[in-house]
Amino acid sequence: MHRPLLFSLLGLLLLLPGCSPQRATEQILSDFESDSELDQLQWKCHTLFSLSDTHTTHGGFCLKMDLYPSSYPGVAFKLRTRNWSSYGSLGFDLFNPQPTALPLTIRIDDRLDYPDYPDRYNASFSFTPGMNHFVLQLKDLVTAGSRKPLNLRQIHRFLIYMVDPAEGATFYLDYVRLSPTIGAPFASP
Amino acid sequence: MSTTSKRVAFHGLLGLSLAFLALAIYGVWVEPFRLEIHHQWIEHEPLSRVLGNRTVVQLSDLHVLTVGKMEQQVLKALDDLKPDLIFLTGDYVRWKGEYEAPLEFLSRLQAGTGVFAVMGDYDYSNSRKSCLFCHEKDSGKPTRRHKVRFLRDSYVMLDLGEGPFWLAGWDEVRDHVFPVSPIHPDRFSELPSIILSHNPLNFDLLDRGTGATMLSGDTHGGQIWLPSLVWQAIGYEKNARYSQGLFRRGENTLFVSRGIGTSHIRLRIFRRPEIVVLHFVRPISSAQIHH
Repeated sequence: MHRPLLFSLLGLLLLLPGCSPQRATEQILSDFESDSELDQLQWKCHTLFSLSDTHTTHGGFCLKMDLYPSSYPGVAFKLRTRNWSSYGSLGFDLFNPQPTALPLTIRIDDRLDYPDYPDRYNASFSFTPGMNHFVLQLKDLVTAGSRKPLNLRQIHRFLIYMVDPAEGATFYLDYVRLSPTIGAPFASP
Repeated sequence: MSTTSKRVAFHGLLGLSLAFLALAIYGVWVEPFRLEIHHQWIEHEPLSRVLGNRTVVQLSDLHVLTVGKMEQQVLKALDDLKPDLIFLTGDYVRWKGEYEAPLEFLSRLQAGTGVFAVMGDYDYSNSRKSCLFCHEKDSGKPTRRHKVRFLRDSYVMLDLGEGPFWLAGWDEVRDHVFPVSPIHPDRFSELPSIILSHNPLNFDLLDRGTGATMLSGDTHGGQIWLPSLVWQAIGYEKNARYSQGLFRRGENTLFVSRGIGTSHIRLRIFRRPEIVVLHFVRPISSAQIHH
């Protein structure tokens, strides 16, 4: 074979993987494996974070959240990955040690300027006693008011919290992740 | 240029350089430690009735690194003043600095009725450690490190024997994710009121008819003197508008302390660190009417 042609073909073969659609691999947003991860969280009154080695689903530790009666106790994640467009779903594992199901709200903002309720994803889910494997399909992320799809290329905020709980509650959170697959949606009772 | 002119120019330049050097030495090694006891008279009829005979002290912007020479000076001065009330208007730590020394300093503060405080933006520079001002480490239990009561968008009614008044603390960090209304001024109409707010710009948010007295800090008086226009041009609105001293707007009064510590660089020129002793007195006009 003519040598230049051979090199051209070899070059083309090397380039081929780069031309195929890029498939995202799983991205772990928070796994709560070290104390330094607690430093990354936004601490505020009426929410106490600690690491726990019980009810973990990934790695050796999870986040224990003690939420006390107040307006919106919960967790806000510091996002390293803002472009969620190449992922199919958002998932996390949450253990509810209380004897009853409790509601938690998920808020996702695709704007930096703290959008009001109608202009952000804002949905409440009920978490049954015991372990809950939560999956949220990203194609379902729409704003609460106008039902406009979120711009997955620029996610600025992701929070999980209770709304005005009358009593304190504890949750164990682990393996917060973005997954390339869509996954089965979470069945909220 | 003649030889004489050159000599004049040289000596002029040398003189200027020496003056600048002397000012820099003064600003870095002298003035930051020249603590002043600043007696501030505030004409306010209702507060004069409830606090007129009391020693009320304001400390601000301590930015404690260690409980060192300056902090010892402050503690000694407080020992001499024997305050009934100490109001702290925020910024006890350095930016993302350690919290141990500031907590140690707070533990040494004593006042007859109590020490009340708000937090400043620097105090929140490490949100996890900021919890230590109110709680035991990694716990929801109240701290036993000090007896300072932190007011975080909250009120307390105080009575030192001459009648009740409101003391409110306006927290520095606004929760933009879940905005809540800051202090509601409606409650202040019935009783005299003092609001502690690290940020003096919160003064603009008060209804003009509230009749409240706000105590603030944050600006350090600029640490050096600069005209308002310069502060405005470099984006320091607080310093441009409320650098230090007394301000009035409608029926409200604002006092901004120059504070004690420094931030960015340890430098103060004609902006001495201060302990403020507040004297609430009757306005001259009302005093005359009563006489």
